[in-house]
Amino acid sequence: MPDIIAPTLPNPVDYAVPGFILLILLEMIWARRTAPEKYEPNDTLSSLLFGFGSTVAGALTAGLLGTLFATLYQFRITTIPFIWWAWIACFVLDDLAYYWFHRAAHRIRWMWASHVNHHSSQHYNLSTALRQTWTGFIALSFIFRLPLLLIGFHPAMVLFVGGINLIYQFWIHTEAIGRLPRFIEAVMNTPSHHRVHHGVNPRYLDTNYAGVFIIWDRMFGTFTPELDEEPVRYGIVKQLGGFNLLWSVFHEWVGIGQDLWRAPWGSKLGYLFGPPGWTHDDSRDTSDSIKARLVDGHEAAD
Amino acid sequence: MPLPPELALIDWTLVGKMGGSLIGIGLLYIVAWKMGLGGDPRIADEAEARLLAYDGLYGFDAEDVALDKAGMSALLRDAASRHALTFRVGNRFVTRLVPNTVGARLDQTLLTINLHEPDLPPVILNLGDQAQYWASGLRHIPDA
Repeated sequence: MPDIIAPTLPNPVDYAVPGFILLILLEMIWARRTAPEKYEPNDTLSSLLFGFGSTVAGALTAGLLGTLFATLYQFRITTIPFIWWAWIACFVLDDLAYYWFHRAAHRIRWMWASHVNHHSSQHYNLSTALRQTWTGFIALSFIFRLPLLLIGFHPAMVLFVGGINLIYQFWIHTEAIGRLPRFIEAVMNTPSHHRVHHGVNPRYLDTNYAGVFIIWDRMFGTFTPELDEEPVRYGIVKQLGGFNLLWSVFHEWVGIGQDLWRAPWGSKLGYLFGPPGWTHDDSRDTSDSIKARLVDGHEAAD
Repeated sequence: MPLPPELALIDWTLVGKMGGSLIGIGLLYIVAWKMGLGGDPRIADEAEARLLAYDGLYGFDAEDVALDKAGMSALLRDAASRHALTFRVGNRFVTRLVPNTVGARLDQTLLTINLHEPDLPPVILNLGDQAQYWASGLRHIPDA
């Protein structure tokens, strides 16, 4: 397999951080004028510290991830050069990989234990976008990107487009923007679509997993539009009871540990890899049971 | 002048980024606080308490409601004598089903409920002359 010389690519997120801060400030000014309840200082602090911790955790595991990516890249089926169409293909395929990662992160408790961090605020503003996990590596979040390396996209390209994807997802975490023109809403992930994704209303649970292109949800049957008659309530099914940062970060991991300890032997794997809320005796709600009771049930009654 | 070997091991660019990030975080928190963002929401009435419990527990149908005098929390009971506690976290409300192992303490009109969650301090409700009635109810919660 021929080697190619990879250009030295920066981490695009580093360059975006000043823009993130500026946009959060602008959104705060908007909130002060129109709806001060959209922000809560302790919640904002919590979200920003999540982001900070996530950066530290990312730096600690970067070496391992880089080694894994470089090793797998040696087993690629072809070599894709650094030319314009490769960037576009890599970006689109990476976004498809993101969709499946994100869907798995909501449907498999082991991965949810990490991703829950991003959803655990009851607010939806630009600071929520920075509410990122500290335990993504443990949750194996990276495995969905590995096929790109095996296809032949260079690790530097995969990481770069992943950074662009993350930057795109920042601005959609806002209630300051209503709906965009129809052709944009049809193709792109937008504030409206992503508000639905963060919703805990039964109808909105486990929908709109897209990163950049909402077409994946439309293709795979997980799209739900935002309804004017049903304002989105944000957060998680069992909302956090406070702002304790370490508890907020690790609470689902602690829950997994407690459930594993108590569960009958035949059920332990279900508590690890079943959907969030799954129990061997149906004593808790899952998103499916909530929808069956409160969405499908109502529709049947109607 | 070259750095001492132990300091040369440190990635100072990374340290600078981290320090800058922490300063930015602190500034944003101060700005949010100085702008008075958040507000001071209260539970206005029993209807709002019922709605919060219904939404928070996905279908909790309260038959009886006791509102904290300040509107900071509410205690609710359904037809099966299950109890729900709604309380404020930041400027949002959270509802929990109260287990029959709950720690509850009555002090005249104040009912203190401890759900024993790591991030949740005991919730104190001022229920006026209903406090004793509800404290009694908490002792008769059915098994889950």
